[in-house]
Amino acid sequence: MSLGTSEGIGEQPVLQGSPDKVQRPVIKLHHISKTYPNGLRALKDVNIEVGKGEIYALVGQNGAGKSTLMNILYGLTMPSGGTIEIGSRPVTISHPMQAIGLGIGMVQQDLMLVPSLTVMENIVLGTEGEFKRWDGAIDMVKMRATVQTLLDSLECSIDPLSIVGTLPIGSQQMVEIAKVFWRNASIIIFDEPTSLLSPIEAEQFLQFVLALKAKGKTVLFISHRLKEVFAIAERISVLRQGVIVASLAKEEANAEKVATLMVGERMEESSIPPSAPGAKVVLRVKDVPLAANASKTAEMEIHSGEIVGIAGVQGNGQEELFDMLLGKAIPRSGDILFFDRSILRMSVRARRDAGIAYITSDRIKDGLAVDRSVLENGIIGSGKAMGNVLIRQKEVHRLIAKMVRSYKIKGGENQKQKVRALSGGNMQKIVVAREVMRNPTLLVAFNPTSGVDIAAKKVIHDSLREIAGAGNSVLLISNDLEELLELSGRIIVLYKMCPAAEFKYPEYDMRQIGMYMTGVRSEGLGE
Amino acid sequence: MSSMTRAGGYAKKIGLTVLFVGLIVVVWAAVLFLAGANPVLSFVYIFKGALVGTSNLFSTLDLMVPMMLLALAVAIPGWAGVWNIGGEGQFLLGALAAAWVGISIDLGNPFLDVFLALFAAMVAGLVWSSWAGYLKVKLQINEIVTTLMANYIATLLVSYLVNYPLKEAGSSWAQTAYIKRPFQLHHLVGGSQFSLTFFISTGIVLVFFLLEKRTRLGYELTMIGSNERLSYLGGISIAAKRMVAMLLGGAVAGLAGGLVVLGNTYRMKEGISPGYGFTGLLVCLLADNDPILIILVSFLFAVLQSGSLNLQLFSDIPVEISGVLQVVLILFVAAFRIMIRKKER
Repeated sequence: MSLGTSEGIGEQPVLQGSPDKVQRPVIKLHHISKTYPNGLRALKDVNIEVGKGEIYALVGQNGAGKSTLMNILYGLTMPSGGTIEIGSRPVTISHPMQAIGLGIGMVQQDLMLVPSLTVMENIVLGTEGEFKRWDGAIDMVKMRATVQTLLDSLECSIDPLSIVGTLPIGSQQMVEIAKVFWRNASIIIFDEPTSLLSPIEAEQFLQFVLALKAKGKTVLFISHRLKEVFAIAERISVLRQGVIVASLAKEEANAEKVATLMVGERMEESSIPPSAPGAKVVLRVKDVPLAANASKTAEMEIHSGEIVGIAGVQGNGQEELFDMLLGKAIPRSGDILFFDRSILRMSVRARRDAGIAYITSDRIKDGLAVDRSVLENGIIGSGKAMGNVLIRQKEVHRLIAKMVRSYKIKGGENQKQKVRALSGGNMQKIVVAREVMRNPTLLVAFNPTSGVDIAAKKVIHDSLREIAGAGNSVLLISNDLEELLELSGRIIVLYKMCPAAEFKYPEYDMRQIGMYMTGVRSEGLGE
Repeated sequence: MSSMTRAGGYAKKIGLTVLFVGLIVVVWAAVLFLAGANPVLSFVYIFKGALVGTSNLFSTLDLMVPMMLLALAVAIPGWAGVWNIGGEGQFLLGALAAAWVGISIDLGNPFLDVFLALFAAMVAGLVWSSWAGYLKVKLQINEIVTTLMANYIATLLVSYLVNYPLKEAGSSWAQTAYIKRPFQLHHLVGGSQFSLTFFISTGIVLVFFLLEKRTRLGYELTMIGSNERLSYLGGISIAAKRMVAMLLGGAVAGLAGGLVVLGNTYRMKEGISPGYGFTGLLVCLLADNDPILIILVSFLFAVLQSGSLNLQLFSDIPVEISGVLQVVLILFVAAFRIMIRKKER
C-alpha cells in the first residue's frame, strides 16, 4: 500500500521529494512549501497522499510544521509553492469556506465554541438561515429535530438543548466534531484532539475515530502521543523541521522508530561542555504536583553553576512549572525552596528581589509591551536601579545603552524607538538581556530563543552560559531539544505533568529522550 | 532607507491630518447648514463668542477648569487600564464637601480656608471612587458598571441633601446657602468668572504630566495599561497600583467640584454640573489619556461650547448644536486614530 523504507530509519530523510503512492488518493499535496514573510521556512517540499477512508497520522515535534501543513489544507494559510488536489481535482484553497465546500472539516486544538449558547445553536451557527420560517423566525423545533438526527448518527448522547459551557471538555469536543459533520465534511482534520481530554475521554475519542473510518470518512490526525497514533492510524508521516522524513505504514513502524525519527540525530556534540555544578542547592522543588491530574509529584534540585534543562513536548507541564516558580500558580501541596527558604508565599516582586529572574516564552504576550519604547521595555523589573520615586534618567539611559551595545540590539540605538519596529530576534534580545543584566542567582528561562535567527540564538546561549559560569544557575525550559543538549548539564523530561526521566551530561541519548517525550517509555525517574 | 520611509510616513500623517481637519470643517458646515444657519457666519459667531473680547476669552478659559480635571480623572486610571466613568459622581460629592466646609467652618485665614475646602473636596471624590476601585481589584467587578452606577447614587444623594438637610433657609430652590466670604475666589476678569481655579487646574494637569513621564509610579501605571501580563512578570503589584490610580482619579474629580463651588457658584445646588463628567470622558478619549492633549482638547471643547452660546444669540440655532459639533469631532478623530494605528502595524 504505502511506500517507505524499513531500512536506514533515523539516518536519512526517507521520502523527501517523492510522493507516496496510495490507491484512490482523495488528498494529494505535492511539493508544498511555506516560507513566512519574516523568512522562517516552515515547510520544504512536502508530499503527501491520503487514501479515501484512511486514518492518516502526522507526527512531529513542536514547530516541525504540522499545524502549518494542516492550515494550508484548511485554507487558513497560503502555501508559497506546490499543488493541492482534492478528489483528483487541482484546487486552490484560500479560505476555510472553500475548504468546507470541498468537504474538508477541521477540529481545532482550541475549541471554537460559544459557551453561552446551546449545543444545537453552536452546531448550526452560521447556517441557521436554513431554519427560517415563513414569518422570518427560526424554527427551533425543526432545528432540534435535525440536530438530534445528526447527533444520533454520530452515536453521541448529548442533549441538543444543553448549554455548551456546562458540558465536560470531551462533550464540547464532540460538539465541535458535530459542527464539522453538519457541514458535510468527508475529510476531517484533528489537530491534537486528545490534548485537552482526560484518559477516559481520550479512549472514547479514539473509538469514535475508528467508527468514522467505518463510515468511509477520511481522517487526518495530528498528535505527538505515539500510543494513540499507533492505536488508530494506518499510515504515519513524520515531519521534522518542515520536511517529511518518513512515511510509514503502521506495520512497518514501531513507536521507538517514530520517536527517533521525530527528534532526529544530533548534528554535532557541543564544543563547550557545561560548567560543573557547585555544592549549593539553589532551587528545590519538593513533592510538588504540576497539575491536579498529575499521577505523581515533581522533585527537582538545581545547584549553583548549573544549567538544568526541562525537555518535553509542549503542554506536558512546562507552563505549570514556570507559573509556580513565578508565583502565578500555587502548588496544591509540596514546597518550592530557594536557598532553603520557601518562596510559595512570596510575591513576584519579592522573588525577583531575592535574585530570581524570568524569561517568558511568548515575547508578544507577556515579554514586551510592543507599543512602548526600547527603554521602557528594558527597565521593567529592574527594581531600585530605576529609582523609587523619580526615574533616574541618566542611569536608565546608561543601562539601556549598555544593553543595546553588549547584545547588539539593532534598532535599539534610539532608546525611544517603539519595540514593535524591531525584528523578532532583537525583541527577544531585550527580553533576555534585561533579565540577565540583573545578574540573577537563578534564571528561569522559558523558550529563550523561540523564533530567533542563529546569530541572536548564539548571543542568548552565550549569556546563559555566562550566568552558569559565574556560579549562578539557569533552569532552561525549552521546546528546542538541540538547545537543551547543547547547554544543559542535566535534562529532565516532562511527560503528562510528571518528570519522566533524567539524563546527565554527557550521557545524552536522543532516542531515549525522544521516547520519554512521546510517552513510548514511561517508567519514571530513576531508570 | 528606514529614515526615508519614516519621513514618508510623517508626510503621509501630516497629509492625513490636513485632510481630516478639512473633512471635519465640511461636516460641521453641513450640520450647521441643515440646522438652517449660514455656515460661514456661524463659524464667525462661534469664533467671536469664544475668543474675541476679554470677557468672552476668559469665560472660555474658565469653562476649561472642570473639563480638564474630569478628563484627567478618566486618564489617570486609564493609564493603568481601568475605566473611571464615575467622574460626575465624584465631582458632585467633591462640590458638596467643599460647600459644606465653606458654610460651616472658618479658620480665619482665607488660604487655609480655601485649602481645607479643596482638600475636603478631594477626599470626598477619593472616597467615592474608592469602593469601585476596591471591588475592581479585589473581586474583579467591572469598574465601568460600578462607577457608572455610583453616579446615579451620588446624584440622588446630593439632590436629597440640597433639598432637605442642607437647603438654604427660606429659599425656593434646591441649593445650599452661599459659602462664607473667605472661601469665595475672586473673579479676576470683569464679565467672566475666570479665577485662580484655572491656574490650579492647569497646574494639576501639568503635575500629572510630569508624574506620568518622570516618576516610577507613572511608569508602572502606564506599563500596566500597555501590557498587564508583562507588568505582573516584572514584579509590579497590579492591584495596588490600580487602586492608587482610581483614588487619584477620584481625588482629581472631587477637586474639580470644589473649584467650581469656590470659583463659580459659591454654593452647592442641584444641577451644578451640566454633565461635566461625560464631557470629561469625551475630552479624555480624544486626548488619548495624554495630559498635554487634555489641555488642548479642553480648550477646543470650551471654544465650541461658549461660542455656541453666542451663535444662539445671533441665530435660530440652539446652543445644543455644540454637542453635535463635538460628537462629529469625536467620530472623526476616532476613525483617524484607527487609520494611523493600522498604518503603523
